[in-house]
Amino acid sequence: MQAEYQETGDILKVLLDGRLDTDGVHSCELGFSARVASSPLPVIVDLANVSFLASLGVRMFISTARIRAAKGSKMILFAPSDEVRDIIETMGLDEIIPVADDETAALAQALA
Amino acid sequence: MIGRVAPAGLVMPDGEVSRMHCRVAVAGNGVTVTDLGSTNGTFVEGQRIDGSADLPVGAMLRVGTRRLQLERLTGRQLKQSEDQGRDIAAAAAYVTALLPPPLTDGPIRTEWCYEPSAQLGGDAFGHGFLPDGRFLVYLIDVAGHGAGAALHAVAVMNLLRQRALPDTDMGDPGAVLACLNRLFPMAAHADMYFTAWYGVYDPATRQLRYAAAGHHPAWLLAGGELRAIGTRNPMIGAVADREFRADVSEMPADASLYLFSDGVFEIVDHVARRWTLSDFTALIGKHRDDPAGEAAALLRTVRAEVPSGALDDDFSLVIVRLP
Repeated sequence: MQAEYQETGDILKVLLDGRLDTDGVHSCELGFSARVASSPLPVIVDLANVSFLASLGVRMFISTARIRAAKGSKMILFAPSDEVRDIIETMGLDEIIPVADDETAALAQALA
Repeated sequence: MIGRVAPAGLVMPDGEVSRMHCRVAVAGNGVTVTDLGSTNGTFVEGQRIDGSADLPVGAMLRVGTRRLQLERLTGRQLKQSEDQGRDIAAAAAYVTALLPPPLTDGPIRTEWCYEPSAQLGGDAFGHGFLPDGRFLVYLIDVAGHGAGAALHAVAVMNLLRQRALPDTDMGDPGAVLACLNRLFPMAAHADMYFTAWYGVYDPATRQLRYAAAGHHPAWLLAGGELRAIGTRNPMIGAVADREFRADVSEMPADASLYLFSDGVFEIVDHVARRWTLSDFTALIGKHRDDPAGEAAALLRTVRAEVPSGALDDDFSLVIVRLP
């Protein structure tokens, strides 16, 4: 699992690439949580290259979003594959964290 | 020696393994593997070997449909690993002891299969009757693996077994899930959440009331038709103070309800394809007449699809037969 962080003035964009299974989460959770939870900027997370989302990956997103919500900061997920979107909807994650279809929609929600 | 039959030191009852398939030996500071003229070959890191080859630490050895990985541990590491294995086995035995015996008499019958994974997941389930004769059944799946997830599952299961939810009608699935959500917030439970499916069947009205939280649907098989039985709600513990949507369905005659954890379908098969829910639901009803029972047959079928024969997550399946 690769995580790339791009800060562009008024937004932090995170690109995740790989499988968010047990090994994938262990390899990126510390960096993701530290970087995203502490950022004062709105955060958008690109899931286009995430091929699988396990329950531990869901937990990583929820825990980080909860810390940000306590500070009034937003985190938007976007562009999940059909398979990952199925998992998100089955688990009701989209009722906790906004999920946008693409980057443009994610930016609009993050900066609103 | 690895082979399909004794006197091989490691016997693999696998049709793709030859009687005497290959030999693994320590050679100096390393390990080598030698193919013994097997029909289907011996593979190291995906490459078929010709004669002998080095087997580096961490390398994957494939024999037939089975994969083996070479690890090197110190004596202390080996003992720690064995101790952890014993702890996990004890925790799995404890969870198993809390599961209800299958109902084999009466109009409502059940069968189930629980196969904890090597790491032990956080699956638990139960069923029983309320004092008014209604039948309840549930299954929960705590995110993560290990003793922590199992402990969390046991805590939830004990409350449900004792019908001990405060100020909650155990016959109201939405209220039950809402109560569990209040009692088990992630922030107060080591960031653990769980998914759940909970249903209550009333034999007098033939109605099933049900609610799911972050969990895929249960599946109902009746008259040759299969349909999903579930509702959309977030997982338990993630969001405070929320209502949980429930629904109700009429149960046709001679119906079977299948509840299961994601461990029954989240596998990678022999052709490296990751299964989805529909791969498993396609098997429902196909093994109903198996002498070992349908639940056991489904486990056997799924496990046969996994190259190592070992599942990564708990396999939990409950089948409820309604008259």
